[in-house]
Amino acid sequence: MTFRREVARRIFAREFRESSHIIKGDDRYSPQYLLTPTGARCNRIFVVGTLLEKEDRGDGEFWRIRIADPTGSFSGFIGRYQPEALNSLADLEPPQYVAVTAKISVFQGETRTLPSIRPEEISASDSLSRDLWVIETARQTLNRILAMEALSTEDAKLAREIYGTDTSIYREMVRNALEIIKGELEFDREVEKDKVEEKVEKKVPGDEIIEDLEKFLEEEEFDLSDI
Amino acid sequence: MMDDHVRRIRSRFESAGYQIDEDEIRRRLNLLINEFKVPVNEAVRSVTNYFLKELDLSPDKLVAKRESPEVKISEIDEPGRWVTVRVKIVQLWESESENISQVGLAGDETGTIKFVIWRKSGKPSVEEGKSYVFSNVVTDSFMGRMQININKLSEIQEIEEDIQVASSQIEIVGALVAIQSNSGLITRCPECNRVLSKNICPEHGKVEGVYDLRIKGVVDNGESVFEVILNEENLKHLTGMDVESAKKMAEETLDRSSVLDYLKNLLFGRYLKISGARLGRYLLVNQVDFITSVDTEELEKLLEVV
Ligand SMILES: [Zn+2]
Repeated sequence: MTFRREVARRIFAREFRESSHIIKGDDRYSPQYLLTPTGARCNRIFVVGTLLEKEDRGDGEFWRIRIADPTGSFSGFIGRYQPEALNSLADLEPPQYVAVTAKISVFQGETRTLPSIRPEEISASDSLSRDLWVIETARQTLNRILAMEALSTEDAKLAREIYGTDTSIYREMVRNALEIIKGELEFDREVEKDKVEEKVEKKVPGDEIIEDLEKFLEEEEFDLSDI
Repeated sequence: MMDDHVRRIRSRFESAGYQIDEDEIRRRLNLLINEFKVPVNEAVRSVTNYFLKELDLSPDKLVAKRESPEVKISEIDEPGRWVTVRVKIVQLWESESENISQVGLAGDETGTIKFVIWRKSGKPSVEEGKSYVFSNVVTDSFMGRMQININKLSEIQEIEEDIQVASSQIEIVGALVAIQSNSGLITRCPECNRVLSKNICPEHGKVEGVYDLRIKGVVDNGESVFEVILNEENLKHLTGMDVESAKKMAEETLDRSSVLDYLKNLLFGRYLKISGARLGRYLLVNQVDFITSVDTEELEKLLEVV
């Protein structure tokens, strides 16, 4: 029997946090899915964000983590059953950019259900990967929103029925996330420009030595040809 | 032994369009080989000639039809056919079973197909990148896809010709979301190229492994998954590391896994642009690069639509 590997879906933290509906398979061996308010059906997700916290909840063998994106944060747990991630977590110190591939689990609380992530692998990342992730996640979320507004997929219909999703809220979430990335890119460009201007004005170290030398020579009236 | 000769004679006549009785073949072969101690190849020839006479066939008719027809890969569309193909070995995969000596992907200018060399066939190993004529192979269908099986009656002959391989080239952008543990600095069997564990090859026993560098992983774009293998050339292009520098790192740290940790740090979760041929779960990497900047045009377009 060959198993099809589950795709890692792209979901913003806020939408993830607002998800509560589990789709179970026919038998207990079938994979479980979390249906999100815009109709993503996910068993696994991929996130690039900022590791905000790692908290030891059990002698270094059970950690609670929190990873932020521009819309909110993902709560997660890493334990002995995720040896790769447990091993990698040792080298990570918040705050820092991380990339995470994670399975989804859902806690059934008394008042509500809380989705969380169980990282299979976690590793240091960078701001470029974070920006690429936000844009990719924005595009895929927007596609789901458009499908929901047109009621063109079964999962969109189901999600609207369950959550009564107001898509304008999620459009705003996507827009805000994109604006943040756009703002940062513009800021980075300004910084780059400043750096270039600074370079032009700033004398290279060699110039200073020669200047000092010239001053020294003027004072002492040495013959340059001796040097 | 005897059964193989019986089957071979029967199938030679069968592919010429004539059915002959296996029991009759066996009885005659048995008589010549075991009673008269005739050498096997002489006995086979004699029995074949007997049936040619019986059917009033000229030997060249049988010779001409003996080889199974040469076909292009794109023409293979039903199981149970005996065919001959001229192919290049595109990729060797790890064998899924003790009964399989080699498994992988072969291609010609019309397409690619999975091939399986059964251990019982006793055929010598084929190598990636070399071209061969596979004669008398049997087409088969496995999980909805065509494949070819190389059995005892098949022949594998290496050819000088460099077969051009057609492929459905695709280009994808996705994140490397998983790296398998049998990645990094590995050793391969010098005889058959299999990846070794503890320098033991399942076929050639204890061998002096040859070092290689690779990443077996999964690239995922949020909609589809692609299993990829990044070879030494790909890894050198992406990270600057090659087998030599990986060996040095392993020697300095006294730990081969430090190479994998190092590569993981540079590659896990990174966005890659890969062009290559898609084959089932696999994407055969042709060219791979990091995505090095944000597509600001896409960003603006998304902001307009949202
Ligand atoms: Zn071997």
